[in-house]
Amino acid sequence: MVFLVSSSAWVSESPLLGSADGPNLSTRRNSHHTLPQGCRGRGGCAEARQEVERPHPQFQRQPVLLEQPAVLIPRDGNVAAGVDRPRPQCTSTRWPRGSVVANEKQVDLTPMLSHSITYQSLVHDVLDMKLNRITVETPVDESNPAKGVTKKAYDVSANDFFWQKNAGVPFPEVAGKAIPSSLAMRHGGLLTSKQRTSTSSSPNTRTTRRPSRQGRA
Amino acid sequence: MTSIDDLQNDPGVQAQHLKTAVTLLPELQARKAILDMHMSVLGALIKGIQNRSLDSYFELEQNITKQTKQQMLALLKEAKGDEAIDKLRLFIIWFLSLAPEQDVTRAEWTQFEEALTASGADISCIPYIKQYVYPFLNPNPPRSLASSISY
Repeated sequence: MVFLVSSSAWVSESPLLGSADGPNLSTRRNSHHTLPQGCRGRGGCAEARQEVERPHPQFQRQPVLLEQPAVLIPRDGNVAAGVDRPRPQCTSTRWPRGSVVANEKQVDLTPMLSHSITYQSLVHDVLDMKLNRITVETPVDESNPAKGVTKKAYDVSANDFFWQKNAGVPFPEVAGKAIPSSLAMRHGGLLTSKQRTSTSSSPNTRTTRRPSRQGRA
Repeated sequence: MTSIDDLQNDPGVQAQHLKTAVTLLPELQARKAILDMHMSVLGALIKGIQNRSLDSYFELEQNITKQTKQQMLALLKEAKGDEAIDKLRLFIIWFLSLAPEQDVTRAEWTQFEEALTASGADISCIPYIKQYVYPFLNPNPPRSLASSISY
């Protein structure tokens, strides 16, 4: 359940922010103070305390702090259907915990337009990246661009260690530091493994290797 | 790697090394493939950055508020990158970050627009930017854009 909220004042006062059946009593006590007179003191102190333990009755009436009423969006995501639907009665403490989406009316245009030099943003800007696929266009003949271009597509997979590490890193750092260090790591790893293989080529070790490898596979 | 640890006490310690080498090999090959891919992507990126001189645009935008109107106009007229869209972006960012303080007159505005059109940019988005910066702008400003904001 998602609540679209247009007033920040309501967000801070909302008892929804504490979990409905969690130990967040302080939020509920505070929210008790925001109750209008009619809700508060029907039967004196004891009943008022009881009311605190129950879910907030604010959900059953129009919220007074909101400029516009909060919009309930059902789980299926159909916003239009959710607006007209009557609000569910909040009678049990097992009210699903909602998340609050605060909409900011102001849009900052500058970050959408600015030239950034992180690896990921440059890939988006210079090359073509869509759904984790980077398309690189290279001319067939460097000196003669009229010959057309060849397209190469690369997929950035989920286990791409280099992308995970460097997508947000400034480009000069990626080209100048990350690539050489990764290459050194790779060569170092290969070198040591080669050394190890070369030193362990006696026949009796080979027989010990085999069963373990099969066991792994 | 637990099985390798079991081999520690084995007299044939060489077996352990061989095992690690064998188990490491597929992983190293996968890493090599990923690195090769990123090498070619980076190569294409470097070419693209040089073609569009994106690094200079980035540096310009880092201290965009220091650019005066004259500097900006010179930048737009300068035939640097061959991508007109970069100039348009630079100009919009400059205008957005500086417009509240600076008074861009109509004559200057037409100069900017001419410079952008001359570099081949599509300036159909400019009216929106104007409206975005001056939401209460009189559609027919008397002298300058900024002085005609009426709240």
